[in-house]
Amino acid sequence: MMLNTEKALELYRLLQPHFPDDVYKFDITELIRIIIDSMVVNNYRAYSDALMLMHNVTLESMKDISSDEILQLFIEGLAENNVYELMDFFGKKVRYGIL
Amino acid sequence: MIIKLGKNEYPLERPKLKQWVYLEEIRNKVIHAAEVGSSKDFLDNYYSLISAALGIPVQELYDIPWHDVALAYLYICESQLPKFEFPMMYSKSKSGETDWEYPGRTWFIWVHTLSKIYSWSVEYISELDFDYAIALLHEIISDEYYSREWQWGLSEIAYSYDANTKSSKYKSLPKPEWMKVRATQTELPKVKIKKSMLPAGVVVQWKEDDAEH
Repeated sequence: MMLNTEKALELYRLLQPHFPDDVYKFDITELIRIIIDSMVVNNYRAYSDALMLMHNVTLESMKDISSDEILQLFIEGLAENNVYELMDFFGKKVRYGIL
Repeated sequence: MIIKLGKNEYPLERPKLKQWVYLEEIRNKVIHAAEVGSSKDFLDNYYSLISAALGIPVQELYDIPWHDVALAYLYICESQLPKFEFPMMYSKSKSGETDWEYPGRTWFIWVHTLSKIYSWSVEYISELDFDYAIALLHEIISDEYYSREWQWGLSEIAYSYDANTKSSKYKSLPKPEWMKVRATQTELPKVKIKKSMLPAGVVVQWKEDDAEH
Protein backbone atom coordinates (compact mmCIF):
# COMPACT_ATOMS: atom_id res chain seq x y z
CA MET A 1 0.00 0.00 0.00
CA MET A 2 1.22 3.49 -0.80
CA LEU A 3 2.29 5.48 2.26
CA ASN A 4 0.91 8.84 3.33
CA THR A 5 3.11 11.92 3.00
CA GLU A 6 4.50 11.84 6.55
CA LYS A 7 5.61 8.21 6.26
CA ALA A 8 6.83 8.69 2.69
CA LEU A 9 9.06 11.51 3.89
CA GLU A 10 10.42 9.25 6.62
CA LEU A 11 11.06 6.54 4.02
CA TYR A 12 12.85 9.09 1.82
CA ARG A 13 15.11 10.02 4.75
CA LEU A 14 15.97 6.36 5.33
CA LEU A 15 16.65 5.63 1.67
CA GLN A 16 18.28 8.87 0.62
CA PRO A 17 21.86 8.10 1.80
CA HIS A 18 21.74 4.87 -0.18
CA PHE A 19 20.67 6.30 -3.50
CA PRO A 20 23.18 6.51 -6.35
CA ASP A 21 23.94 9.98 -7.73
CA ASP A 22 22.22 9.55 -11.06
CA VAL A 23 19.08 7.61 -10.26
CA TYR A 24 17.79 7.56 -13.84
CA LYS A 25 20.86 5.72 -15.13
CA PHE A 26 19.53 2.54 -13.58
CA ASP A 27 16.39 0.53 -14.21
CA ILE A 28 14.15 -0.27 -11.25
CA THR A 29 15.70 -3.71 -10.60
CA GLU A 30 19.25 -2.32 -10.61
CA LEU A 31 18.23 0.63 -8.47
CA ILE A 32 16.60 -1.55 -5.83
CA ARG A 33 19.65 -3.85 -5.80
CA ILE A 34 21.98 -0.85 -5.29
CA ILE A 35 19.83 0.47 -2.43
CA ILE A 36 19.60 -2.92 -0.70
CA ASP A 37 23.34 -3.60 -1.09
CA SER A 38 24.19 -0.21 0.38
CA MET A 39 21.72 -0.55 3.25
CA VAL A 40 22.81 -4.04 4.20
CA VAL A 41 26.47 -3.04 4.19
CA ASN A 42 26.25 0.47 5.66
CA ASN A 43 23.12 0.64 7.76
CA TYR A 44 21.20 -2.54 8.40
CA ARG A 45 18.98 -0.72 10.90
CA ALA A 46 17.70 1.56 8.12
CA TYR A 47 16.81 -1.54 6.10
CA SER A 48 14.61 -2.95 8.87
CA ASP A 49 13.20 0.49 9.72
CA ALA A 50 12.20 1.04 6.09
CA LEU A 51 10.62 -2.40 5.95
CA MET A 52 8.62 -1.79 9.14
CA LEU A 53 7.50 1.57 7.80
CA MET A 54 6.42 0.29 4.40
CA HIS A 55 4.46 -2.72 5.70
CA ASN A 56 3.46 -1.46 9.14
CA VAL A 57 5.04 -4.48 10.84
CA THR A 58 7.16 -4.84 13.98
CA LEU A 59 10.58 -6.43 14.43
CA GLU A 60 8.91 -9.16 16.49
CA SER A 61 6.58 -10.14 13.69
CA MET A 62 9.45 -10.31 11.24
CA LYS A 63 11.33 -12.93 13.23
CA ASP A 64 9.28 -15.75 11.75
CA ILE A 65 9.70 -14.60 8.16
CA SER A 66 12.54 -15.97 6.07
CA SER A 67 15.19 -13.55 4.76
CA ASP A 68 14.02 -14.22 1.18
CA GLU A 69 10.48 -13.24 2.08
CA ILE A 70 11.76 -10.13 3.84
CA LEU A 71 13.69 -9.17 0.75
CA GLN A 72 10.61 -9.76 -1.36
CA LEU A 73 8.54 -7.54 0.98
CA PHE A 74 11.18 -4.82 0.80
CA ILE A 75 11.23 -4.86 -3.00
CA GLU A 76 7.42 -4.79 -3.15
CA GLY A 77 7.34 -1.86 -0.73
CA LEU A 78 9.75 0.18 -2.83
CA ALA A 79 7.87 -0.59 -6.03
CA GLU A 80 4.47 0.26 -4.47
CA ASN A 81 5.81 3.59 -3.28
CA ASN A 82 7.29 4.56 -6.66
CA VAL A 83 10.83 4.73 -5.39
CA TYR A 84 12.00 6.76 -8.43
CA GLU A 85 9.37 9.41 -7.98
CA LEU A 86 9.75 9.43 -4.22
CA MET A 87 13.40 10.30 -4.61
CA ASP A 88 12.78 12.78 -7.39
CA PHE A 89 9.99 14.57 -5.57
CA PHE A 90 11.43 14.93 -2.09
CA GLY A 91 14.97 15.38 -3.37
CA LYS A 92 14.34 17.93 -6.09
CA LYS A 93 10.84 18.69 -7.35
CA VAL A 94 9.50 19.83 -3.99
CA ARG A 95 11.94 22.74 -4.08
CA TYR A 96 11.52 23.74 -7.69
CA GLY A 97 7.80 23.02 -7.93
CA ILE A 98 8.12 21.81 -11.50
CA LEU A 99 6.03 18.96 -12.82
CA MET B 1 -8.22 22.00 -13.59
CA ILE B 2 -9.43 19.12 -11.42
CA ILE B 3 -7.11 17.68 -8.77
CA LYS B 4 -7.72 14.13 -7.58
CA LEU B 5 -6.90 13.44 -3.96
CA GLY B 6 -7.75 9.90 -2.88
CA LYS B 7 -11.36 9.36 -3.89
CA ASN B 8 -12.29 13.03 -4.08
CA GLU B 9 -11.81 15.63 -6.78
CA TYR B 10 -11.18 19.34 -6.21
CA PRO B 11 -11.15 22.23 -8.67
CA LEU B 12 -7.92 24.22 -8.86
CA GLU B 13 -8.23 27.79 -10.10
CA ARG B 14 -5.55 30.29 -10.96
CA PRO B 15 -5.21 32.41 -7.80
CA LYS B 16 -5.94 36.13 -7.66
CA LEU B 17 -3.26 38.49 -6.36
CA LYS B 18 -4.06 38.26 -2.62
CA GLN B 19 -4.31 34.47 -2.69
CA TRP B 20 -1.18 34.27 -4.85
CA VAL B 21 0.89 36.35 -2.41
CA TYR B 22 -0.36 34.19 0.48
CA LEU B 23 0.40 30.92 -1.32
CA GLU B 24 3.83 32.17 -2.40
CA GLU B 25 4.68 32.93 1.21
CA ILE B 26 3.75 29.41 2.27
CA ARG B 27 5.59 27.92 -0.72
CA ASN B 28 8.75 29.78 0.30
CA LYS B 29 8.42 28.29 3.77
CA VAL B 30 8.05 24.80 2.23
CA ILE B 31 11.20 25.35 0.16
CA HIS B 32 13.11 26.74 3.14
CA ALA B 33 12.07 23.80 5.36
CA ALA B 34 13.11 21.34 2.61
CA GLU B 35 16.49 23.07 2.29
CA VAL B 36 17.25 23.07 6.02
CA GLY B 37 15.80 19.57 6.44
CA SER B 38 13.11 20.37 8.98
CA SER B 39 10.48 17.64 8.57
CA LYS B 40 7.91 19.18 10.90
CA ASP B 41 8.00 22.64 9.32
CA PHE B 42 8.04 21.07 5.90
CA LEU B 43 4.94 18.95 6.52
CA ASP B 44 3.03 21.76 8.27
CA ASN B 45 3.60 24.22 5.44
CA TYR B 46 3.24 21.61 2.69
CA TYR B 47 -0.21 20.61 3.98
CA SER B 48 -1.16 24.26 4.58
CA LEU B 49 -0.33 25.17 0.99
CA ILE B 50 -2.47 22.41 -0.49
CA SER B 51 -5.26 23.05 2.00
CA ALA B 52 -5.30 26.80 1.23
CA ALA B 53 -5.11 26.35 -2.54
CA LEU B 54 -7.84 23.72 -2.76
CA GLY B 55 -9.94 24.86 0.19
CA ILE B 56 -9.91 21.58 2.07
CA PRO B 57 -9.18 20.90 5.75
CA VAL B 58 -5.57 19.91 6.45
CA GLN B 59 -6.70 16.77 8.31
CA GLU B 60 -8.16 15.34 5.10
CA LEU B 61 -4.67 15.23 3.59
CA TYR B 62 -3.08 13.09 6.31
CA ASP B 63 -4.24 9.71 5.00
CA ILE B 64 -4.05 10.34 1.28
CA PRO B 65 -1.27 8.46 -0.61
CA TRP B 66 1.82 10.66 -0.88
CA HIS B 67 1.87 10.52 -4.67
CA ASP B 68 -1.58 12.13 -5.02
CA VAL B 69 -0.62 14.89 -2.59
CA ALA B 70 2.71 15.44 -4.37
CA LEU B 71 0.94 15.79 -7.74
CA ALA B 72 -1.51 18.26 -6.21
CA TYR B 73 1.43 20.26 -4.81
CA LEU B 74 3.14 20.38 -8.20
CA TYR B 75 -0.06 21.45 -10.01
CA ILE B 76 -0.56 24.17 -7.40
CA CYS B 77 3.02 25.38 -7.86
CA GLU B 78 2.47 25.43 -11.61
CA SER B 79 -0.69 27.51 -11.25
CA GLN B 80 1.40 29.99 -9.24
CA LEU B 81 3.86 30.61 -12.06
CA PRO B 82 3.56 33.92 -13.92
CA LYS B 83 2.72 33.56 -17.61
CA PHE B 84 5.48 35.95 -18.63
CA GLU B 85 9.15 35.88 -17.72
CA PHE B 86 9.43 39.01 -15.63
CA PRO B 87 13.12 39.84 -15.10
CA MET B 88 12.23 41.10 -11.63
CA MET B 89 10.99 37.63 -10.62
CA TYR B 90 14.18 35.92 -11.72
CA SER B 91 16.63 38.26 -10.07
CA LYS B 92 19.47 36.37 -8.38
CA SER B 93 20.01 38.89 -5.63
CA LYS B 94 17.68 38.37 -2.71
CA SER B 95 16.52 41.24 -0.60
CA GLY B 96 17.46 40.50 2.99
CA GLU B 97 14.91 40.52 5.76
CA THR B 98 14.61 43.80 7.58
CA ASP B 99 14.29 44.25 11.33
CA TRP B 100 10.76 45.56 10.92
CA GLU B 101 9.52 42.42 9.15
CA TYR B 102 6.26 40.76 10.27
CA PRO B 103 4.29 37.77 8.97
CA GLY B 104 2.21 38.63 5.92
CA ARG B 105 4.01 41.92 5.24
CA THR B 106 4.45 41.13 1.55
CA TRP B 107 0.72 41.54 0.92
CA PHE B 108 0.71 44.98 2.56
CA ILE B 109 3.69 46.04 0.47
CA TRP B 110 1.70 45.13 -2.67
CA VAL B 111 -1.40 46.98 -1.45
CA HIS B 112 0.62 50.02 -0.40
CA THR B 113 2.54 50.23 -3.65
CA LEU B 114 -0.42 49.75 -5.99
CA SER B 115 -2.89 51.90 -4.05
CA LYS B 116 -0.35 54.73 -3.73
CA ILE B 117 0.12 54.92 -7.49
CA TYR B 118 -3.31 53.98 -8.85
CA SER B 119 -5.58 54.82 -5.88
CA TRP B 120 -7.23 51.40 -6.09
CA SER B 121 -9.13 49.87 -3.17
CA VAL B 122 -7.80 46.87 -1.24
CA GLU B 123 -10.68 44.75 -2.60
CA TYR B 124 -9.86 45.68 -6.20
CA ILE B 125 -6.14 44.94 -5.69
CA SER B 126 -6.96 41.57 -4.05
CA GLU B 127 -8.81 40.45 -7.17
CA LEU B 128 -6.14 41.48 -9.67
CA ASP B 129 -4.56 38.90 -11.92
CA PHE B 130 -1.08 38.37 -10.51
CA ASP B 131 0.63 38.63 -13.91
CA TYR B 132 -1.02 42.00 -14.39
CA ALA B 133 0.04 43.10 -10.90
CA ILE B 134 3.65 41.99 -11.40
CA ALA B 135 3.83 43.90 -14.70
CA LEU B 136 2.53 47.05 -12.97
CA LEU B 137 4.96 46.68 -10.09
CA HIS B 138 7.73 46.25 -12.65
CA GLU B 139 6.78 49.59 -14.21
CA ILE B 140 6.40 51.33 -10.86
CA ILE B 141 9.89 50.27 -9.78
CA SER B 142 11.39 51.25 -13.17
CA ASP B 143 9.67 54.64 -12.99
CA GLU B 144 10.91 55.21 -9.44
CA TYR B 145 14.42 54.29 -10.49
CA TYR B 146 14.50 56.81 -13.35
CA SER B 147 13.04 59.51 -11.17
CA ARG B 148 15.68 58.81 -8.50
CA GLU B 149 18.39 58.69 -11.13
CA TRP B 150 17.46 62.21 -12.19
CA GLN B 151 17.65 63.45 -8.57
CA TRP B 152 20.91 61.57 -8.13
CA GLY B 153 22.41 63.37 -11.15
CA LEU B 154 21.74 66.70 -9.42
CA SER B 155 23.55 65.80 -6.22
CA GLU B 156 27.27 66.06 -5.44
CA ILE B 157 27.66 62.40 -4.53
CA ALA B 158 27.02 61.44 -8.15
CA TYR B 159 30.34 63.01 -9.17
CA SER B 160 33.66 61.74 -7.93
CA TYR B 161 36.72 63.98 -8.29
CA ASP B 162 39.79 62.50 -9.92
CA ALA B 163 42.91 64.34 -8.69
CA ASN B 164 45.04 63.05 -11.56
CA THR B 165 42.89 64.33 -14.36
CA LYS B 166 41.60 67.21 -12.21
CA SER B 167 38.07 66.54 -13.38
CA SER B 168 34.87 65.07 -12.02
CA LYS B 169 33.46 61.83 -13.27
CA TYR B 170 29.78 60.89 -13.20
CA LYS B 171 28.92 57.78 -11.18
CA SER B 172 25.55 56.42 -12.17
CA LEU B 173 23.00 55.36 -9.55
CA PRO B 174 23.37 51.60 -8.94
CA LYS B 175 20.57 49.70 -10.69
CA PRO B 176 18.68 46.76 -9.23
CA GLU B 177 20.16 43.55 -10.60
CA TRP B 178 17.20 42.81 -12.88
CA MET B 179 17.52 46.23 -14.56
CA LYS B 180 21.11 45.70 -15.59
CA VAL B 181 21.86 45.03 -19.24
CA ARG B 182 22.06 41.35 -19.96
CA ALA B 183 25.32 40.09 -21.42
CA THR B 184 24.76 38.70 -24.88
CA GLN B 185 26.96 36.16 -26.55
CA THR B 186 28.45 37.71 -29.67
CA GLU B 187 29.84 35.65 -32.47
CA LEU B 188 33.59 36.16 -32.96
CA PRO B 189 34.39 37.68 -36.35
CA LYS B 190 36.43 35.57 -38.76
CA VAL B 191 39.81 37.22 -39.29
CA LYS B 192 42.21 36.35 -42.05
CA ILE B 193 45.78 35.78 -40.86
CA LYS B 194 48.81 36.24 -43.08
CA LYS B 195 50.55 33.02 -44.09
CA SER B 196 53.83 34.41 -42.75
CA MET B 197 52.27 34.72 -39.31
CA LEU B 198 51.12 31.08 -39.13
CA PRO B 199 53.25 28.65 -37.07
CA ALA B 200 56.04 26.90 -38.96
CA GLY B 201 56.10 23.14 -39.48
CA VAL B 202 53.32 20.64 -39.99
CA VAL B 203 49.94 22.04 -39.06
CA VAL B 204 47.47 19.42 -37.85
CA GLN B 205 43.97 20.54 -38.74
CA TRP B 206 41.30 20.13 -36.07
CA LYS B 207 38.21 18.34 -37.31
CA GLU B 208 35.02 18.27 -35.26
CA ASP B 209 34.58 14.55 -35.95
CA ASP B 210 37.94 13.87 -34.33
CA ALA B 211 36.99 15.63 -31.13
CA GLU B 212 36.16 12.40 -29.31
CA HIS B 213 39.37 10.59 -30.41
